[in-house]
Amino acid sequence: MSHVVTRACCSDATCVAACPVNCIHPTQDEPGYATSEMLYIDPEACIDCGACVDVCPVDAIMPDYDLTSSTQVYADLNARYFLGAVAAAPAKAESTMQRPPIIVTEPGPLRVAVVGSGPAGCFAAEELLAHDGLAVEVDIFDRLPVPWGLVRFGVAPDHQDTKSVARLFARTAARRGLHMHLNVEVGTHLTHAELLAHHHAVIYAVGASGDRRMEVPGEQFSGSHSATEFVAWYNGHPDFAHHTFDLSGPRAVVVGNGNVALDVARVLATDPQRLARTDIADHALRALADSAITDVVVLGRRGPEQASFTVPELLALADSSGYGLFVELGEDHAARSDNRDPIASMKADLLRDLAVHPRNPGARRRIVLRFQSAPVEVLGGNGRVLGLRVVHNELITGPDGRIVGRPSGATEEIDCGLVLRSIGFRGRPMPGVPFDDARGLIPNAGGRVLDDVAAAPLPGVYTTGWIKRGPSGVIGTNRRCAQETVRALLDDHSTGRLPSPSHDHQDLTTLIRERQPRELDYTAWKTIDIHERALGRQQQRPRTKLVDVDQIVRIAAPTGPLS
Amino acid sequence: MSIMNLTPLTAHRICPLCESTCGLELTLHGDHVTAVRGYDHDRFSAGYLCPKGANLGKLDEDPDRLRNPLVRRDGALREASWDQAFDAVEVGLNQVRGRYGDDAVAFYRGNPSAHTIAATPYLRPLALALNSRNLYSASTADQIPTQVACGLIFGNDIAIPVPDLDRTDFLLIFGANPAESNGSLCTAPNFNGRLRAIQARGGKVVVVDPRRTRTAQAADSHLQIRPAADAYLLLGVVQVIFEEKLVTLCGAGVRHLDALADLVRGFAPERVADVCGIPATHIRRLARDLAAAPSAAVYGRMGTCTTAHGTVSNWLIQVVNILTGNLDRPGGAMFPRNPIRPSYRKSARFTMARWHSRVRHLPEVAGEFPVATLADEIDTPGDGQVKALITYAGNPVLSTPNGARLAAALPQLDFMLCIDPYVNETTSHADVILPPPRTLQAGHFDWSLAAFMIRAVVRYSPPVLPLPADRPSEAEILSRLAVIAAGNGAHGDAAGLRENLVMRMLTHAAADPGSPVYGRDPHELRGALAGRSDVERHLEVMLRLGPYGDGFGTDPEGITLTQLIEQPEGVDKGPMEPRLAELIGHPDGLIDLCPQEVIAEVVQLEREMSSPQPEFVLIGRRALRSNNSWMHNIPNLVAGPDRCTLQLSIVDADALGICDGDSVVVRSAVGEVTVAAEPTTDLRTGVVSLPHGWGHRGAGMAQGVAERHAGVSANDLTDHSVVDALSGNAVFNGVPVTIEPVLAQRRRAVPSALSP
Repeated sequence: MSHVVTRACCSDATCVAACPVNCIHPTQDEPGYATSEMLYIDPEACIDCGACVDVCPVDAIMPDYDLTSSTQVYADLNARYFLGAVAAAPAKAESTMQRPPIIVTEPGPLRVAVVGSGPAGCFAAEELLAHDGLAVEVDIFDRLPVPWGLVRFGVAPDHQDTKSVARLFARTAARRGLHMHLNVEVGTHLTHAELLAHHHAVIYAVGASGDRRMEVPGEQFSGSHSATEFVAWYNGHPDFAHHTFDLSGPRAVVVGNGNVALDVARVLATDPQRLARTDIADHALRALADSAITDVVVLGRRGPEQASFTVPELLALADSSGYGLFVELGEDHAARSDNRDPIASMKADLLRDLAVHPRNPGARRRIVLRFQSAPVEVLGGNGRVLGLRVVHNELITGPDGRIVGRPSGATEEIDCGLVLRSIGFRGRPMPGVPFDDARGLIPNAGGRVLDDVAAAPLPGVYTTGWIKRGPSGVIGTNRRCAQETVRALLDDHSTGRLPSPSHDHQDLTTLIRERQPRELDYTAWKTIDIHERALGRQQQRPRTKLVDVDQIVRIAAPTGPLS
Repeated sequence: MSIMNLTPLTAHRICPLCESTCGLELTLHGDHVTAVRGYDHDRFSAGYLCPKGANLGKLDEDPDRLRNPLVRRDGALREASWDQAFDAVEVGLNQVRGRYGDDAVAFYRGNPSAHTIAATPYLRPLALALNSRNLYSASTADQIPTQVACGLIFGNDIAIPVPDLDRTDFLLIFGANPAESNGSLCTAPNFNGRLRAIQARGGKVVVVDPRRTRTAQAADSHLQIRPAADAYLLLGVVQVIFEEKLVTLCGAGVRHLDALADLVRGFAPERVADVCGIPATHIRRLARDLAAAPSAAVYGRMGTCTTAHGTVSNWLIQVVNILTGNLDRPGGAMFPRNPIRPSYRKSARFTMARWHSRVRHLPEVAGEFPVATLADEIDTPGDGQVKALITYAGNPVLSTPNGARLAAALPQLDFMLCIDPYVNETTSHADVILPPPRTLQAGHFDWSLAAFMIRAVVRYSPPVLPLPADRPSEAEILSRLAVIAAGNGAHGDAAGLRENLVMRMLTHAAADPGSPVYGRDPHELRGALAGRSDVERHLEVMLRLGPYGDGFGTDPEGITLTQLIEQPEGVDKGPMEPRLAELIGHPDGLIDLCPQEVIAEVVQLEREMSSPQPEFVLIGRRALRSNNSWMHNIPNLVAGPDRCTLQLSIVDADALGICDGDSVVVRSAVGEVTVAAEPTTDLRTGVVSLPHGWGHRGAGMAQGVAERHAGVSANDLTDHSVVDALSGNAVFNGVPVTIEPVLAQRRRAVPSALSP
């Protein structure tokens, strides 16, 4: 008997702190943590006490006797993790709770601006505000009129349990000392210099909203989009609400096979009646209801063991009903597994099984996972996508030991009306803040932002989340990331390295009112939240999202601009 | 040398933290516990444990536990030697008793005292020597209504039936959440697993609770009752049983069957449905299902007791067990046999109200006054006012109603003594604190819980670690206090007292014609004892004279202490057996189905049925990693999101504009708290829930972790002036409150068209 971590795991590692026998890994202090797909419970060490169930913010843990036919596989997944060479750090179960004491001589609170209200920003704010014996004021800025970043605009609508992590952020937002400034864009309404003038420090937690391009001919044709754009559209991101996608079918190709690619494929292939029970944006629901797409092809450059999606995401894809799921493996992958990473080999095992036993083969809509295929040209006519030419890749071991795909020369044309590329995010530069264009992130050392030229820390400027480390990890991974940044910040504060702000909070309030009268505070968000959930209840949905900024402002502040 | 270089030692120990008595397997390096697991071979718990037990080592080694006595000097608690501390006790107690009389000393006994080996043998001599009527315990904030109900029905307040979990076909749970609390007045390790087993063998589990608890989630059906409406639901069930002629009395004789039928006539499901918040059809079906099940047991706990009609609810629970033929039969509600209770000695007949409390004239029950009136007795001047208080393993400031008032009353005492390992919200007011040694330095036997075990598995855990030479055992502390209370001074002969207790039991047994050692020489029996300490010998005598004992050689198959020491997994004497006849205390030997005392209460209930309901009522909440007030100082047990939140229905939250984490002010008749809100779908509208045992703040406290996770005390809201009329029990459930968001938040209400 043992407890088992399942799909919704956000890796925030609260369970690690509650576990009396330290059987949940990788812990935040272990090397594999930053890249782990999820956390796993060691069935040999678990004593079945259930403490982890008590604390999990997304209800991802259950005793093995509560596993169902669709979650049973997680018992195997948890056990498999420990077959690998797990580099265990010494037990530090309390490391997330016991924050080092900070001695500050300066009177008054430490004032920090956090740019971005997604997981990275919220975990950073929590880390600051939960620090015992330290007076902190945090201003969170978000350019959007609603908070939580990718929890709202990234997580797929059919993964509501994953979104329940927002309850943690709500508790942070309700803390004394936190001020939320929504609908306020740094770089437009306020400058970086102005933030610094009003705070001891600024933490950039703006994520990676840009995407990598395929860099192939024809990419500009109508019908070729980034998957990020499609995700933002179906999740009701105000900037993307009016985008249109050609769903006249019958086939769509998703290039890349990370979790976003699978989300997109799943949304395209799922019965709209099922989506109607989620918080998918209304405009997307209407469009998908009329979709003629029956085939969704997901392309991976490399083989099944190198697939970018995580095992839980694959299991979720395979578990959904209503569409067929087919896996096409290269002939050299029919029966071979030499991968010593137990999680990767499990992924390959699952894919091999799916290749032999497709799910719901008779369904009207289907998803096909293809491997060792890379795009070489988007084919079109009249400026519209008509297809995609792909080349078959051979797998070779690169100079660094990594398996890479090498074009074999054999090409194939896939007819399709929609191409969604999902081959990686990249950050976008913030005005006035250094940016590493090659890596698409803010240059930093452990969260301290480095000067472009001298590569020395810029006093009072920090970063956390994807814009700090690149797009890796899951929601809870950002907690560890934020801890590192906040510890650097507090260390600088206690050693007097933070310049004192020249303006106080009242000045900031005045400035924001002047620059952006349509600023919304956290109370405004709560009004929106209640409104959206009330709308949703009528339609048996978790919520019905508002997507129009004017409407949001109107509902949140019915008497016009806030006085 | 690092402790990890020491040879590890494995020890087996019954978990003393709650009523489920799980067998633990401890790994120790020196005196440091390095691992805790469930002991797979334990005959009762079979490897099960919960997070509390898993943290037993951390709890035992908590750096905030006191190592030395504290004595108040110049206004502050300071470390003192044991002799100094006992001297201070002698002076403090003698002064108060000399000036104001014996009744001026009150004694309060907290819940963990039911889980320590020293309490049963040595508390009684202490209480007798104190010669005070001001005796209080956590029982009157807990299960006293069950005892009174059983006292009235069976004439014996310790004849408390427990559900035969392992054999029943239908379990109806009222106001209990064993999936998180591990069960109470029903000792069954892995309660949850046993519920699953009922379902696996085709049986059904039905939960009645205002909150969708984990137990409710695991059940086959959940009746989400309005708080404190249990009595109405049960009256409805009993009415259906009569109306539809479903009565099946088993073996034992009853009286007042017709009176009962008359009494419940006005409580048809159609009449009580509204007040219960449960459709009449569900109530009828419940009654029919109970009657039709091959076997069924109704089990009610905390939620049924801590209401204004707790005794009536508990009476009705047993009435349903009796009328459906399920009392005292396998698969029904049965009476465990306590291995330390000699079957040849009949228990005393239940009486109550032999005397009344000074200020509120509340009746005595089982020799105690309701703890809800303790503060009255301290802060109301006059003859007989309480001037000194002894607390033992208790934190009544957090665990009794209107704790804030008690906290304000404590400084008015002339003297306060606490026997407790922590400086907490209560003991910080003490003049003397006597800390018991580490848990693992004492043996363990479940004297009290043995009466509630669903299976007669007899286990004893000897001390895992030796007691340091300079440290008195808990037995020594209590017996030394008994010697002081008896007027024999701080340096009197406590060891002699303990030895006398053993000899007296042997002498009585030798003189009792029913005993297996009748006619034998008590000194010969004394010479046959193998126990290595007074408390072990005390236990040994009781076990060997008990129903499963060897009777000092009379029954070679019987249990001895030596055997239990050799078999830490325990000795299994099988499932419960019918034994009601030997328990009934009424002179006519009959069950009283309709005791005189409850009739007026039922009439009152009928009158209250259409009373207006408060907009919000407060109920409590259990959590797996918490146990009342004293486990919040262990990092593992408080890790994660704050649990001390006000849960409320998401529907109410939206209507009031309250979101997750918002501060809300909760006000009751006696106080207010400000706490973070947690909207949930687990509560019905009009009900809010706050866990108890939090609110860790106060001058002079020394519980670092708990103070950082302070929370608020639910008992700053509960009202000491409202008690269960028959038993005087505290009322924690159904407390009228108002809710208000802290800030006048700028937010438009949900348009009415959108309201659900």
